[in-house]
Amino acid sequence: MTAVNAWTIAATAAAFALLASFRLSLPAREGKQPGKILNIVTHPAWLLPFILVMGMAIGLMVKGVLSPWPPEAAQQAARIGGWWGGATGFLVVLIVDGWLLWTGSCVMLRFSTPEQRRKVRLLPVLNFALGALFLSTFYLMSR
Amino acid sequence: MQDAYLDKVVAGVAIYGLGGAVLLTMVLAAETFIRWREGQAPWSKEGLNSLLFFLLFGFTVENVLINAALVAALFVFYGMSPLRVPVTPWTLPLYFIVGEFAFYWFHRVGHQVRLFWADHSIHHSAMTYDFTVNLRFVPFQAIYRLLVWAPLVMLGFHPLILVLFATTAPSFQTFCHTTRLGRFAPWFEWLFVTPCNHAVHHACNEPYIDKNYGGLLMIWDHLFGTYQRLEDDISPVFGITHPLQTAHPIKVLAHEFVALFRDFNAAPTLKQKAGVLFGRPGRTFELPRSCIRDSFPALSNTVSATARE
Repeated sequence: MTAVNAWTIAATAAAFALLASFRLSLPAREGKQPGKILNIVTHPAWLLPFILVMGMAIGLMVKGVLSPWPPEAAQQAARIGGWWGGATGFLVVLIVDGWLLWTGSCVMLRFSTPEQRRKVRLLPVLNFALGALFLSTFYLMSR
Repeated sequence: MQDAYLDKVVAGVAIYGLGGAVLLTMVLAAETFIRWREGQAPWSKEGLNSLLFFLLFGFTVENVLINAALVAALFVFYGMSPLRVPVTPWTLPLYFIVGEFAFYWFHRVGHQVRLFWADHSIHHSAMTYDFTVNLRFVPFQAIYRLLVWAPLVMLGFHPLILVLFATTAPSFQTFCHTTRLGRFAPWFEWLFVTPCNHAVHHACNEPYIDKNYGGLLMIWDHLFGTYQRLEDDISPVFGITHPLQTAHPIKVLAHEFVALFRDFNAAPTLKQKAGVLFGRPGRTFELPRSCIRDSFPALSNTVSATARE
């Protein structure tokens, strides 16, 4: 563990974003309002930076610069930002992997209109298949 | 120092674009999959047209060639100005906001000046509203981008960074061209372009027509009074007020230019001719759309009995 720096803030924000992703990834939680503190900790607003971070991280994976395997991404990021940088890299890649494999379709299910719901219920299967295809390709590119 | 940072920002935006391409591929796959689940053809004729326009005008053509020409042209204006807004980590948020402002006004001009609407209407001509509409690129938008963005670079904003920010941040709209998603949290709907907000933008019925021009954020719409929320009791009617009756790509591309040319020729005075070019669509001298059938028989089926007339 190293001294607190800007990467500490990034890692903390990424940790909250991971919790927010978890909340959106659990279909069973749909419609259930969590308690006050849990609501703040897992609020989707924590994902706002990912409007930019998601595209950047996937772009880096496409270029083979960033591994889609979180422990490797942590090592790569640690070379730039030390321990906290590594933690940020680990969390960011974990979140991006989650969205590419699962969370994206869960969000679509959650916010789909009632009449659409039945038609999109198999979307997580496609999400997982495509995400796995992309991530395994990125992994090979990063080797 | 400044150039090195500039290079970093440009490389960063290019990387962001690569990531956006992967996400675009995924939403298009989702659209295809859901259409298949609905028992429809995986790609509609409109969707295939959009794909064709993407290959013709989007893809490398706009993203590399046209934007490079746009940046080069903007540099001419930049060179004429003594003002400079440096590109540093501290000014990037300003560039982001100004990029949104640039997108807002270029987009609004594309809707409210008939000459430019002839081009931008191609994007809006789809009667369906799904993820494939993302691909419906138009050929001449760099021209009105240049006109609207030239004053901004003369205020000192670096042309390359301005173009990158103004064209990349709205890529978030990739997820917004769909009716398959309902309303998000109220604060999110207020602040961001969402499927509901952008559905309003693609609607041609009141009170939605010519609203919600934002790229990523809705702030400029709130500020300039063009924000409109999607009302529960008024369904959006997608498309344009003179709906196309054809999927022929050339007719889709030419339909509004033909009407513009016809009205310009028929306008009796110079003032009215200028109005046809630079006035607001629907408020300029205009022959009944049915006249197109006589003037341009080959395009006759591009015009219906007209929604408004």
